[in-house]
Formats: sequence, structure tokens, C-alpha cells
Amino acid sequence: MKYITPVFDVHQFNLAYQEGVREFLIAPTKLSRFGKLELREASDFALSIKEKNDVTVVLEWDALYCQNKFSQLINELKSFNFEVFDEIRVQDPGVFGWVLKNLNQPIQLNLETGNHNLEAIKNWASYGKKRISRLILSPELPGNIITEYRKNLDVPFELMGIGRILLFYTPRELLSPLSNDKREVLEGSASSEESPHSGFQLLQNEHGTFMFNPKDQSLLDQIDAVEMAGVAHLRLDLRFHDYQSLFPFVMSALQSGKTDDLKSNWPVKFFAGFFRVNKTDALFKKLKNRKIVRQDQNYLGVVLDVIKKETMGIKLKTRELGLSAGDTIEIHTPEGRVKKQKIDQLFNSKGESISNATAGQIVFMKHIGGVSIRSSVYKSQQA
Amino acid sequence: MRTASEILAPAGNLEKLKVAVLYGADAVYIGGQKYGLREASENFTYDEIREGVEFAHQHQSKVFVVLNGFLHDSDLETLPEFLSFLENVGVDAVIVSDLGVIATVRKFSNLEIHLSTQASCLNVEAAKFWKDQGVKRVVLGREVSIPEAALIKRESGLEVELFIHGSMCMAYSGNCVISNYTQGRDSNRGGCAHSCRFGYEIELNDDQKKISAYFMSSKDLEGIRLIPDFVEANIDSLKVEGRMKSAHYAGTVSKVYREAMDFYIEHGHLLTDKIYEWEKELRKISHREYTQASLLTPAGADSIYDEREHEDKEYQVVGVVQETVPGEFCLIEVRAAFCPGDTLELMPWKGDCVDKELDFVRDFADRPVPKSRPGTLVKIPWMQGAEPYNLIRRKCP
Repeated sequence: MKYITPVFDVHQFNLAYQEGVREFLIAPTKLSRFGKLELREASDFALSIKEKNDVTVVLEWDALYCQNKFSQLINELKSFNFEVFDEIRVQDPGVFGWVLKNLNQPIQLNLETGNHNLEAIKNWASYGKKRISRLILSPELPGNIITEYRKNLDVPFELMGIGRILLFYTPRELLSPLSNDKREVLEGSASSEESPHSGFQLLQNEHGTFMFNPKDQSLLDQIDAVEMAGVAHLRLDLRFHDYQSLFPFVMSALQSGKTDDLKSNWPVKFFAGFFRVNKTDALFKKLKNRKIVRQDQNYLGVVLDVIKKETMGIKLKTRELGLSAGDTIEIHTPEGRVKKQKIDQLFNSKGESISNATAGQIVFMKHIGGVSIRSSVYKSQQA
Repeated sequence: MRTASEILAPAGNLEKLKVAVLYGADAVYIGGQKYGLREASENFTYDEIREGVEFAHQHQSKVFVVLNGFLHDSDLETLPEFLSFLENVGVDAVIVSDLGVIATVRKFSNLEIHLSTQASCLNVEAAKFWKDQGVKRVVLGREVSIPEAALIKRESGLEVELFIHGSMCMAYSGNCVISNYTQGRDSNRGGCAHSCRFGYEIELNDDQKKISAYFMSSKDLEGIRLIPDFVEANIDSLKVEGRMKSAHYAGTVSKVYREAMDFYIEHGHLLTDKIYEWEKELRKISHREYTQASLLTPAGADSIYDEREHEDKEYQVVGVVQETVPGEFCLIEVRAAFCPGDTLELMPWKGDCVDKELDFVRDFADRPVPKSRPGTLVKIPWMQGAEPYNLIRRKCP
């Protein structure tokens, strides 16, 4: 397993280098969502890091840009020294396309937003042809799925090994209206009685406002499983924490496989995200009453009104299926009951007896006990 | 010669589709039982999609089907069969956000592909990328301005679609997973819990005080006064959000934007008192406070809706016409209670609403009803011009 870590100063770099890390993310403010370096600072810093011959320096360019901002940025970048970076990490397809056309470095493609199927990942990789040196996968992908992807793709994978989980990214400034503080970067936290969780970390900078999960993600106590899944690179993302004091605990945990010291020193709780399992569609079946979802076969229409023990009105909806006196219908109630009944007589809205009716019409008949409004009506296959 | 932009309305079910089409939408977008972003919505069965497409085409409207979830591998397994069905029934396009879904659509069908706003396509280079993937139209991110959209269209050669009305994600679409981590529901596969609408207590790091605010909630978009900008920029389609919203909403936005668009195409301006009428109409439906958001300049602090969620509407639909017997009665499905003596308003397909005081309200067995109950059928006096799917409403008390 190889490690990559974002660093913002020479002290962080020296510490990580001493601990054996050889790949570094450099994040300029204008390019990276969470960047802290001016463009010139970033290229100078990259140059200084590269005095060590055995390091790889990666430019992080993951912010999103509307057209006007993007045009301005590209203008500013005319004087930027891209050459000092070994690889470029991109996320927005516009930036991806621009880098493909205008730079020569290998591209690390960040697919952390969505991209939860092999077909998507294969197509992203194939668009970049041989330029793609790495795919950064979504933290929502479980290990067993990543294992399958590994068998079908030969581009190396990266996951976030430890760090904050980004939940929300907007270009709008949401914190400055709450404060008189005119600084460009504002930080805070939010809690809601309507949410089962509290202590969401907030950040506002020149790219907009970000919200983070209260618990950080850590896969450090299951490194074996991560490796088995075919992940070659692990991101150790301490950019929001005290790098100097925590990084040694991270490396110690990786070397020993024991995370107790790390957990007790880390400022927030950890969890493994969705690496073990992702069941975020399991609750969908509870979002609506499936008993009244219409089944297409033999569907006639819906009960619009009922006068108990007297009459009920049905709106016929299926063009191919009319209803005639003498037909047998099956009614499925919202409560899940099924009623079957032969129809003796049909009426129209004027109360006149009719022999049959077709789609679009409302027909009336004798009420069938237990049938309520919104029940679905089907033509019975048995006479 | 000016070309009208398409008015694209939401349709959460077959009734709303018919209402939107009859009130003037050029196209509607709908969802099947899977693959979209509105898992809790009623959505369409196969037969309903077939019927909806036939109905829309009979009225010279188009139907687009959303497949815009960030689908997982297991979701893709059944997709080819659905695509084959959509192609067979003549759906006009599918709306997709995921590259794997796009590849699947291209592999198994010849369906036209529109890129969902969920993909947050924001600039020319991004649009070119999606064009290379076989996309014909991009529904641009809500952060993109009209002039930017015009440039994206010119430079990419793609059709462009912008939102003109409705609720807005505060986040870049597709870039919010709050529900995934806090509620166990995938927001990008239809399980959004609307956490951005919650009230929060906020502590800023350098400030000692706690602030209570709905700081992540966006006002609703309303772009009616910008129709000239949209048309002059050659924006191909103007989309209204809201598949979960009511038939009243679908009908009103379709009617209002149709009338405003037609007026502009005919006269070359919107300098008319009708603009006030149209805006009044848009206040009669359920909405939050309105904003033009980023349509002209990036949305600022005044685009935040710092209030608890609540129904804000001046009118309510009390019924939908089901049948008419001219000179005798209209049979309507009741959506909100009313009584004999009340004055109701018929919303015709075109033109001004028609008031009617109710001489009688009867159940379908012709017995007098002192107060109608929602979910029942009643007969009310016949109203000139009333047709099935017309909406009947009244001012909220």
C-alpha cells in the first residue's frame, strides 16, 4: 500500500517524508476546494519538495467552476508553472478536458462524487486513454464491489484512508450572512434537532460553503481488507486537523495495525463509512405505499368514491380494457385486502344504466364491502 | 425571427402529465418506478408511460423520462429492458446523469440523451466532454447564468436547458450526500431527506454566540421576467422543477409560462400588465419566497430562505373536473372541502379564470352535500368551457 497526503508547509512535508510517505498533494486556493496556498506559493513549494528525488508531487485541482470563473481562471493560469507537478488530480469534467488538451502530465481522476457502477468508471478511464494514472473512488463503494472493479480495470485505485467526509458543496456563501466577520475563510459547526446527528463542521471559502460529517472516515483498522479489495493508494487527509501531532499516530496505526492511540487522540470519532456495506436504498420501499402502486396487467382503474353499502365510482384508465355488466373484477385496497366480485349493473354519472364503459369514463356500481377510496381495480382473469 | 424556448413541465403521475400538457407545456418529464431521484413520488408504470406518451404526442408535446439517479451496478442490470420499452413506446429522450447509464443507454437503444442537472455541467469544456459521450442536450447546473448558458451552447454545439422555476438544491446538484450519511437514504437515488431545509444552530469558530437559522435552505426560482433573456440567448428549453408537486402547480406553471412565452414571441417584449397577472398566478401555487438565483449574477445572501418550511400559497385546488354534462353539472374529484354557496374559480386551458357561485353540491347519487369531503366525487353546477382535467380552485381563507 502506498500513501498520499496533502501538505501545506515544509514542516508537514518533512514529517510525512520521515514517516515514509513519498507522494504529496499540493492544494492551491484557486484550484482546490480546500486549498490554502497562492498559486506562486504552491509551485515554489512543489519545487522545494522535489529537491528530494524520490517524491511525487500532485497538483490538486478539484474545485467546480461556472463558465465565467473558469475563463478567468484559465487566463490567470497562463503564468502558472504546471511543469513542477508530476501529476494533476482533477474532478470537474471541464477541468479534466482542459488538462487533457493543454498539459502533458498523467491525470489522477477523482470519481468520489457518484460513479457507483463499473460501466461509469470504465468510461471515465477510457476517455482519458493512457493519461489516467489513478482513479480516486467514491467512499460510498463497499469493499466487495471494489474487488470486482479491480478485476475489470488496470488503472490503480485510491481511497480516502482517513479524513473528513464531505457531505455538501455549494458555491453560495452561507456563513457570511450570519457573521460580521469579513474574512474570506469562515469556519464553524452546525447541529439540528431535526437530524439524528450533531456537530456538522462547516467551512466557507472562495469556492463556496462546505459541510462535513460529524464523524471522520477511517479505514486504518481494516487495511488488510482494503488491500485485498485491490486498492493501491490510501489518502491520509489530515488537512483539517493538527498535522504535526496526529500524523505520527496515523503512521503508527498503519504500521502496527492498532488504532487505539489514534482513536484516543483524534479530535472526533471515526467510522468506516460504507466500506463494509452500503444499504442506502433499503429504506426506499417504506417511502410509499406499494399496495396502491398499480400493477399493469389487467389494470382497469381506481376507486374514486364510495358511499358505504350503497354505491362506488370507478375511473376506468386502461384503454384496452373496458368494463361490462357481467364482468368479474378484483379490487386491491390500500390496506392490502383483495376483494373479488361479479358486476351485475353499471351506471353513468346521470344514474342511467349502461351495459359497458371504456377508458376515461367514470362508472358507478354497487359498493363492495371493505372497498375504500384509492383502491386499485383489476379485471379478473377468471370469469 | 425569434424562436420560442420549450416549456418543460414536471409530471409526477399521469394526471399531472395530462394537466401540464393541456395547460400548454411543450414537453413533460416523468419518472418510472426506478432509476430516478423521486423514490417517494407516485411515478409511472409501464402502461402509464405508454398512455402518457400517446397523450402527449396527440397534443404535440414531448415526453422525457428521468434515469438520473447515480445508479449502482445492480440497478443497471434491469435497465436495458426498460430502455427497450421506452424506445418502443416512443419516448422522446431520457435524462441521465451517470456516465455508466449513458453508456448503457447508447449500448441498448437509440434514445436521445439529455444530461441531467444532477451532473452539474457548468462550463464549455464540461459540455464538450458530455457531447463526446453522446449527449444531445445538457440541463445546466442551476449556478449557470443565462449569458454563460448561451456561450456553452455556442461553443459546444449542444442544446441547452436551464431551470426557470421551482425549488432549488442549495448544493451543486449531485454534490450533497447528507441523507446518505445521516438518514441511511441515498439522496442521489431518490432518498433525499431535505436536510438543507432543517433549522440549525450554528456556532462560528471566532464568534461566541450561537445562531439559529435555516441557513442552507434556498428560496425558489422564478424566472418569468427573464423570458426575453432566455429567448434572445437561444436557450432551447426552460425547465420547471417539481415532480412531487400538485396538479395545481403543474397546471399553473404550464399555463403561465406558455402565455408569457407566446406573448414575448408575438410582441418582442413583456411590457404588459399581464406580467403582474402571471406573477400573481405564480403566487397562487405552493412556493417559498422567489428569487432569480444565479440566472443573471451569482446567487447572493438574498437567495437564502431563512424560514421554517411552510405552505405558502394564496389559492388551493378544490377539485379536478372528471366529467361534464353540459347545461347540467360537472362531476369533480374533490381535493379540498367546499360548500354550496361558495364561489369557485375554473382554470381554463387558456385565458382568464371563470368564477362560479355554487347553487348546489350533490354526491354522485344526487343527494345534497352540505360540505364536500376531499377524495370524493361531487356534482356542481356546469361551468361554461369546463373540460376533464380542468382545475377548480378558490382563494385560501
